[in-house]
Amino acid sequence: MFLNSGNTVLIVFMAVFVAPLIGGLLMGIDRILSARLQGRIGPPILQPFYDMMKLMSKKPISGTKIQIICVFVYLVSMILSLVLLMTGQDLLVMVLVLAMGSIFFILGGFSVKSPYSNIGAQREILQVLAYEPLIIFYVVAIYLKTGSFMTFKVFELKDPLLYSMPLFVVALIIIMVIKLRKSPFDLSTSHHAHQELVKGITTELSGRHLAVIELVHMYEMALLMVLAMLLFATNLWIGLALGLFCLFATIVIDNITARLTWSDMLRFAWKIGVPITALNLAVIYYFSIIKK
Amino acid sequence: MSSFDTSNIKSPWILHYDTGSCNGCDIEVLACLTPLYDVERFGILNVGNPRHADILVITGAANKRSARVLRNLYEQMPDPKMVVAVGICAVSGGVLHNCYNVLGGVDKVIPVDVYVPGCAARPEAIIDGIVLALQKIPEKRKLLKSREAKTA
Amino acid sequence: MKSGILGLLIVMPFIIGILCFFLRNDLVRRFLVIGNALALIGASIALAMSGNGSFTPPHEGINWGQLIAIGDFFLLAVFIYLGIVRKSPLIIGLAALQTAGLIWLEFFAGIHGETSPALYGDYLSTIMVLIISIVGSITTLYALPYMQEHEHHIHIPVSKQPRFFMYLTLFLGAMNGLVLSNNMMWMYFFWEVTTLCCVMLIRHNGDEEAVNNSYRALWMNLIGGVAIMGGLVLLHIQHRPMAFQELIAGGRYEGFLLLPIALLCIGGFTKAAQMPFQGWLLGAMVAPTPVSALLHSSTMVKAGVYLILRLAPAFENTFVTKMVGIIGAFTFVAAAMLAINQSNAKKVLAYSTISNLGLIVSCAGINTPLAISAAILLIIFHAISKAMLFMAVGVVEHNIESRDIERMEGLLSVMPFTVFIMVIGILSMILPPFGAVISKWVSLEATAKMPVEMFLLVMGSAFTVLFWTKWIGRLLETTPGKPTPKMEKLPFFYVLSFVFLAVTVLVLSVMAGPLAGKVVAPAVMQYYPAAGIGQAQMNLINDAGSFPVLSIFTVILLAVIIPVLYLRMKECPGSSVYMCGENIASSTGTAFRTLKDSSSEMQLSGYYFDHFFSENRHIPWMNPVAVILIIVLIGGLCF
Repeated sequence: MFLNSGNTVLIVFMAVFVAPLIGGLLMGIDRILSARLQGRIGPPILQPFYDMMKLMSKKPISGTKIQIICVFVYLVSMILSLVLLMTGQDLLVMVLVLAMGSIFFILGGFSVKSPYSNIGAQREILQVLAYEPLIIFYVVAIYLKTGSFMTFKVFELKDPLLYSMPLFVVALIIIMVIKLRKSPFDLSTSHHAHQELVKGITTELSGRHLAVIELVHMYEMALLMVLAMLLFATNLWIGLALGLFCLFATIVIDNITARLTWSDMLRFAWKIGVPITALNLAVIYYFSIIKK
Repeated sequence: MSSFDTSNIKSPWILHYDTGSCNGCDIEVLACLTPLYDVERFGILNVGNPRHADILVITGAANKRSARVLRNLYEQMPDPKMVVAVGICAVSGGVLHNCYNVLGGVDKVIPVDVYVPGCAARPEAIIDGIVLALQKIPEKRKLLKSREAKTA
Repeated sequence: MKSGILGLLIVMPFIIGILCFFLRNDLVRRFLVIGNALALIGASIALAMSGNGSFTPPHEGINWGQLIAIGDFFLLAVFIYLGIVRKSPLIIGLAALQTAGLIWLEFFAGIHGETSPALYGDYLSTIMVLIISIVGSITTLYALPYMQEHEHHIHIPVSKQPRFFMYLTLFLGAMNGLVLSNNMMWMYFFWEVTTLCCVMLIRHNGDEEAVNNSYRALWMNLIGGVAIMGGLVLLHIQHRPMAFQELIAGGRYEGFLLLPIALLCIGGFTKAAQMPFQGWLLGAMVAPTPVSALLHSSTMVKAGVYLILRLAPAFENTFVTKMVGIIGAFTFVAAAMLAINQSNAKKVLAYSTISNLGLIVSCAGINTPLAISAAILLIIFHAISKAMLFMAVGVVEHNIESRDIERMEGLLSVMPFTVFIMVIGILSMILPPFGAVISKWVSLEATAKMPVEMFLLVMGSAFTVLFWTKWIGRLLETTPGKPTPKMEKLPFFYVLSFVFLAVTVLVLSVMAGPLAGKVVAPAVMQYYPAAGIGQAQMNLINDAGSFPVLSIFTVILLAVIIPVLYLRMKECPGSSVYMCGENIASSTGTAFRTLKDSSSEMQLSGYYFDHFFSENRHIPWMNPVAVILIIVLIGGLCF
């Protein structure tokens, strides 16, 4: 069990209550940056929180009960995976729990007989298919360096992981673009004023149920930051800078590209993303064999 | 003013529907989103989905074909919702008011909260109209609550 | 005591099967099958309680070895007969080859001076017996109402149920015999019995497709039989023990000495439907559903992986282990990929079975204690989930007259209970904290040091999620604003087997920690220095990580229960979906207005990715690759 000392309680508290605040702020920065890139001024930095509060206050007209249940499971598994990550638990378990959340989100989309929600759900599965291998390779690479799947082992390393896993920065950017549903891969649903087949998988959600999705995005943002920080665990500030760099790259990509099809996404993730990570993995394997 | 009211005002998401406009007003509505006017400064987003929208912006006169779509979109928006009629056609039917298929202004079909006249309505006027609608939201929320209490 | 238990487990099903055939009364058969199920469940639990040990049947008046030999010749004669009926030289040839080997072994080589015990029940065998006896028995119970409905559906004049239940119960006895055998000649006998039962059950319906597929199953499994016979002959030539325990205890082998073991593994591949032998299992879906449920979950295919797992300690750290790992991982990824393109529910299940067996074989091939633990866990959880899924698909098929996933659209509002079971079954295959995913987690952690296997496993897992999720998506589709559906009425045995399996999979998943620590770890430690897996309180741990089963379970349970309660209190007000405002109020709730004000029904269907994942595109390269891998396995040992 992970609740065994005061320190972990603090970390869990951070994961559950502070992380979404940070994630929300990052989303606000994202929107301002996007606006600036488009020659606009953009909304206030707290805009994501205003949006969420507003959605909370509305009277929801949502699709089906199953979808609402699924949305809550999505939220809970996202929080759970963040807690697992921040308390130093097994990384692979974290990835599985994360995938579970996405699966429930998809099932929610499928559970309403709505054309837009359905297409969004189909595409969301493909998004998962595209980034899932990359995340697992990331975890495996960390395992090869630390000899353990437990996250806390990363902090016991002398050298930061970045030195041996430089190509995973690229992988992280690809993961972020797909996972945060940014252009060119904002296929299942999208942010801001972008529209993808209405709103894709979230079309039938409204009011506080949509607010839950917004909240999940905040956690998602925080989770991806923590994931990036692992690359430079010896100095977490540099790690954070690395994460912010990835996010910045993602936002730039979002603004300079147009949406592609799902088959382009699969091809890109599997023909470019996977070989890049595999190359880095191969180098790590090679050196771990030579060491022996 | 509660924080819910504040956020309601600070985050109006718009659904834009053209009931049969000449596209003059539509272009002006879209102009609001451009860098020159940049309505996202006020948190305004153009969402293409009634379920996510707070404000229904309508251009064009209501006619027999578009009335039922209009009604359906309005019904699918979650409360509290506001309706802004943009352009003289949406306000009263305008030059088309006695056409054989035109019902008249949008308010013949659904309740309208704000009227923005003009042919075409200027972006400044549209933004003014939306701000006016936003100011009415707390009032509307109170109204909804008292209505709910009555039915319960 | 022990002989009594073993008699119940192995001999009783044979007797009851024959009784089922001759006593053609429905009520009597019902009674016999229920009795058989209860006795098997009881006996398997008794066996589990009584611990490990070897057993040689007493020689009082019966020469068991001779009896087995006679049985072998009888079975081979049946196969040759079937080959002659079919006019298939392939079948006759394969059966004749085995007969030649058997004649040489029995009459010229003189293998009768047995020294080793004929039967041996260790932890692995006991786990297998529990799975076969419990899940298998539940399947026979499910078959009782199913076969009645089935015969009603296909309108056959004379009931073929006596024959059906004979083979069904025989199957269980043979499987129990197979996993308990220590003497390889015994194992070979039971192996051929399962082949015969399988072939007979596949052709049960008697139509052309069934008969064709049964012959395909026959020749493919006979290849496995030939491989095993070859392995046995070679073992004898090399003067090595023809008993599992002694063979494993005999230490490591190299080069040519590994060849018999590799041949036995190839036998395992055919039964476990590994590529390129996947064809027979796909063809087996023409049989009535209980057969599929039995073949895919507790029997037949599990015999293949059992054999490989059993031999795994004998080929640790050799060339064989590398190749077995790669062949398994290849099958895992290839079958999962092909499953994506299928809309036939049974075919999806079949590919998923092949894929999961590939994962198990791959784990056996990785051959570290952790990987072996993963394999055993996978066997357990796969058996339960797959049985549940096949049963549910069978019930659905009888109700909607189709096994097409697209036809199951929105089934939740028609058959909520069955769909609920089906969804639990699917979720238990892909979601943490269910057992199958815990096992997958163990296997991923076990492969992390093997680049090729790891790569294939990661890809395969992603595909697996894709095809399962698509399927549940179809099932759950509901139109907003429709009233809550009523429970459908199902026969007692359906409900019993559904509820039993669903509860079992839930309980075992929650108890995954103790299951790993108390059951799987000892099974591995019998042959390996460490288990690589264990429990810390209720959590599952291994050397490299830990799975907080209980915490995740609690959190997810709360995440489901709280919204459910909340929704009870507040009715969801949604009434229609967004269709650009063109909705029409209609009885279906999904009509929209289209050209000239006419109305049209909205139709949805799943993605099948014909350009990416179709069989036509991939089978032509997958089969040759698999054949090459097997040739490399053999060739690498010969040269």
